[in-house]
Amino acid sequence: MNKEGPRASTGRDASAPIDDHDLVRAARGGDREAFRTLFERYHRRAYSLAYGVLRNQDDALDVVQDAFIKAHEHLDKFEGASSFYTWLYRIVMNLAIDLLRKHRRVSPVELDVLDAGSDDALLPRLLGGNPGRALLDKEIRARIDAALAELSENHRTVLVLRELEGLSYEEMARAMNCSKGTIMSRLFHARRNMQKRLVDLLERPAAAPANEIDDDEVA
Amino acid sequence: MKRLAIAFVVLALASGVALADDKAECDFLEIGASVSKPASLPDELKPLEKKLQQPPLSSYSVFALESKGHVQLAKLKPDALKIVRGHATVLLRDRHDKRIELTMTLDDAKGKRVLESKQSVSAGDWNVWVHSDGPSSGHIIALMCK
Amino acid sequence: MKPHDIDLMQEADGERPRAGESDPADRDKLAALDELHELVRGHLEADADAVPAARFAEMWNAIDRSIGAAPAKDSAEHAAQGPGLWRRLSRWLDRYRGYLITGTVSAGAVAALALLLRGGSETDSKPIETMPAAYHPTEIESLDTPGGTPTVFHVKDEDGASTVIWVSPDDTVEGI
Repeated sequence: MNKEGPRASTGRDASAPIDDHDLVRAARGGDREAFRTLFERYHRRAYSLAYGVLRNQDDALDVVQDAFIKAHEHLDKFEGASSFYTWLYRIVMNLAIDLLRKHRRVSPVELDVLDAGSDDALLPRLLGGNPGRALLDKEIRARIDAALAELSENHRTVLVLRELEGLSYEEMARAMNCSKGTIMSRLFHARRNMQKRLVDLLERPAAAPANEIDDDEVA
Repeated sequence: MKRLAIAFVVLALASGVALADDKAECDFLEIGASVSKPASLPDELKPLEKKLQQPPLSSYSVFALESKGHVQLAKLKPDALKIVRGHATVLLRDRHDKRIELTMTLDDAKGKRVLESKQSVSAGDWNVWVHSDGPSSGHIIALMCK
Repeated sequence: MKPHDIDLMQEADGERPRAGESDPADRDKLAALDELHELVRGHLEADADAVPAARFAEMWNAIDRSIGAAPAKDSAEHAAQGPGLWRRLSRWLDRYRGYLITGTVSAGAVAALALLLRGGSETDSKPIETMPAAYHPTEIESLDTPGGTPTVFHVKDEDGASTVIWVSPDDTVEGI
């Protein structure tokens, strides 16, 4: 807590963007507008993460709402060692994973296959090096959506954490409570499955994708 | 005398407001964009850097400023933007405080109409039109009105 | 899986130093990983952008009600210090900009705010105006793109918001 209170921030470089930590301090002091600013800053990013994992708009919105309420409730526990968003995404992730577990009717069978000898390899580029423009194509967006939805929850979660949040293997292992080797394997298979599905779909638009094998390698 | 002075000030302010609602000050940038290596962004485009680094504009890697300028728009009087490739016009249709109604047209270098858009924009926001004119190149007009 | 490809993936993710740039096949695979990253990230961000602002406005109202019922721990300490900086910031933005900027408040706004705050708290005695629930992006009233297909994006970043109208020629399939 800043001993001088929130007003101290007016003494900062006025051209600098308002710091999240200052907002947290003010919100902790009961300033709801400060918390609203944090919400305005991160709600869509948090939603991307939740939706990426859950693939259901209503569930993702619920998770984001609960995450902000929870974050506010525990603002006094936010020590400021990491960024506010890093702290928030952990809350979002935990809530999203909890929700996945609740909704899961049948426990998934995870095959811990050591398949280093298989021919499963990464594919070379798919789109001629212009993914940003490919995203303009509704058809391709729909295909990416379908490919993501068909990944197993574990594969999708690890892919979203890596591609959207840029988490390291170590951080993902902590978040998902598994080994770094498992993360590596999940990520490899998630990417490989995405590539395979996108190539299949691009070559054969009407073709149904093959069933995914959730073959995590545990190191 | 004091009342007269106040009335004068009020009238002057009122006419000022009316004048402001009939005008908009706009800055524009004409940008040539392409996909190649190494990526580059000239200093003049630094104010737009964050936008150029996000999808969909991040699909280009090389950005070059082709022209830039400032126009003062008066209501219902179309203005041409002095661009080097093709022809662009912008028309202030109406303005309500921070909300500005614009019509924008863009023709390519051959005189073919690329787009005509009518939009209501917020003062201070950048609006960007991209004409993807080749497999890996684009012509970008960015306009910000206040 | 091919052990070499696992190595490549770790290189792409910055988990080990890049060594695959010299071999063309490896370079292609690294490029494919970058491409997939862009596709997934861009797709997920676009998903978030597709949610109507009104849904998030409703969400904020629910959050606000909830946190209003359970004030933060040291609010009493701050209540003694008068209206918060951020309350004043939002009033100021409300008065002069009409909406709260999504993302980081612009440097200009902060500079002006700093000047405003130097004037003291008496300038803030007016009732708080109602703040619109969300930022109002550009509204497209009509869009005519002869010979091309338009796509409209609302992009937000730390500097504010912008709208991108992208026209792709009809006679090419872009990006493939």
